[in-house]
Amino acid sequence: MKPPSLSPGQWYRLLAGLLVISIIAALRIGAVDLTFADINQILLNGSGLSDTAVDPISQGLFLQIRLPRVLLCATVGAGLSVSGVLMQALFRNPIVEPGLVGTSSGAALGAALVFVLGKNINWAFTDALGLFLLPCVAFVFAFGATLLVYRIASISGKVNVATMVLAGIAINALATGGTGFLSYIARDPQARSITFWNLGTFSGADWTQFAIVFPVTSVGILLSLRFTKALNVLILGEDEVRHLGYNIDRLKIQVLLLNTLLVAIGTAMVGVISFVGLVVPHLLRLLKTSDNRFLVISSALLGGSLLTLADTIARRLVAPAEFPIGVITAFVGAPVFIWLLVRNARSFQKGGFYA
Amino acid sequence: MLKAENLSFQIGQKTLIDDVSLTLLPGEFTMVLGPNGAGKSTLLKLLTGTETPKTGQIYYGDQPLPSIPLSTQARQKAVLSQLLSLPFDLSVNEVVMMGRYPYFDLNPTAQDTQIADHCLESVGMLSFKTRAFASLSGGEKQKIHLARVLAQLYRQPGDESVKYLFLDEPISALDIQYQHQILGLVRDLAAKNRVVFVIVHDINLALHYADNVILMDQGRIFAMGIPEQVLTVEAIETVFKIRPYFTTHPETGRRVMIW
Repeated sequence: MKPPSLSPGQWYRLLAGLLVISIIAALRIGAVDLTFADINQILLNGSGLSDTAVDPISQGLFLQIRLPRVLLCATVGAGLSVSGVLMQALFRNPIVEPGLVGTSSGAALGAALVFVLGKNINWAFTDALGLFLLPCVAFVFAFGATLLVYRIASISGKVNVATMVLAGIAINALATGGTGFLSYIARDPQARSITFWNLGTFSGADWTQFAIVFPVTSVGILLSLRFTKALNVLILGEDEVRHLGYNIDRLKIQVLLLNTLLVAIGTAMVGVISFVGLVVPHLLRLLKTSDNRFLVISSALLGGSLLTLADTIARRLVAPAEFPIGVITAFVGAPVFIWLLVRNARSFQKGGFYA
Repeated sequence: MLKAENLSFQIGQKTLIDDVSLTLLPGEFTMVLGPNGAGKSTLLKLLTGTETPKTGQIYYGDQPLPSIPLSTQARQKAVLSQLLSLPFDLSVNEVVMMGRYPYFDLNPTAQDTQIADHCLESVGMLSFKTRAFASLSGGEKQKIHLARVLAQLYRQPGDESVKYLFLDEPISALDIQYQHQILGLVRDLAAKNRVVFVIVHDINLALHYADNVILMDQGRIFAMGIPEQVLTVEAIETVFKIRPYFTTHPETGRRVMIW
């Protein structure tokens, strides 16, 4: 297959265009379809430029529910995809994604802990402090789980992929068991929210969540760009990172922290969404480049688009009810991943896909 | 100038480097020889800061190596180690451009691109620029990595700072034509105020190219100096356990080893 010969700049424009189209489509389509005229008018009203009467239900739906939801979705998709790129570069293996190395299930356990035990703390769900409790606890657990997997995998000095996958399975099982235990001791409504949340959902999206997730994710992605050169050198080997002027030990910790930040902040708000972090970087790797500078920027754009589209399907498929988005990303992502595996096994792929 | 004093290094109970001291001068092409497991690669790792010696000190110029920031080191010294295959696809150009990473921020400047092309040209691989690295043969890969370290140590005209180049068996996968091409290139680099430290296996290449030879055995320096004096029948027999014979090259009049 001959890769299309577009320059990185052209790809960025193409993917940014796709993101804008996805967002506009997602804003229009849903349990209630809106026309462009309505959306236009609502946006003008919302920004105070006009006050022509629009159906107040549509206006409320759009401004309070759909707009923050779609924007949050694009942000989380971008964050998860960039985190996939970072993890694949750090572990020097293209099959890694946040779900595989414990980040997502760790975050889920932390969040479940807050859901269940937080009910006993008065300020946990009312105060401004409580607003940050969920993401913070999720972050701590996600980081702990990822670090543990990484340490176990690299116990022999270099990352051993078989050990990593097995350690990931063990840590995931542990975290999932913990989450299961919490939903067992939880009173019913909490348990329901844990179950639903394990599959991911954007149904609770509001402006507050967006206001927390967007700045953190943006800063996270910009910081990721700073590490892309060092991560490129890491493709050659750990010693080469040092020879080209970067501190390899510091790099590992910084990238792990950054990855956990990106995953935990999204997961704390919308739950576990699998396969985005794996499939999006892989689709871009089909362009025959592993330059992490390109992968970070383009994954952010493509990941935002694809998750927005997936959420649109989740909202539309069984409207007015809605589907957990994690089910859709798994149903679409898993076959795509299997296709990639088969394709890579067949093609002339030298190097460490299974090394 | 690179100076090492009383280096020793152990892994577990095994002493890999035992009280090694040496001085490498800019302008000299130093070649390191010795049997497998003699500590050549370990010595290279200590001298480049990849491993920290258990005892002893290393000075680049008059600065102790650990006190030089890594980003400064990356502009002074380059290391070509024995590399395994890469886990991801990269193009030849992307690999060579990594040699310029210490010099630009996020995107290479026109000058960096020019230097990368120049270095590819000097190893005779410019026509491979857009090829996938994984599709190259072992020898071609080695030349690309060599171009990468050349790009890392490239000096602008007028820049006379001392540079340090370390190569771990750079020619092991090359045919004889390229062995001579690459070693000739490295010798020219050494002549221009660079410290060059190269691990090789071929005694005849050392006799032909080296200004300075380090013969290692069991973690120690067995002998060090000009090739004629170090690579004697007795020394080679002691270290390599094989008795060599020397003859004279019919054209150049240099000593050539046969066995």
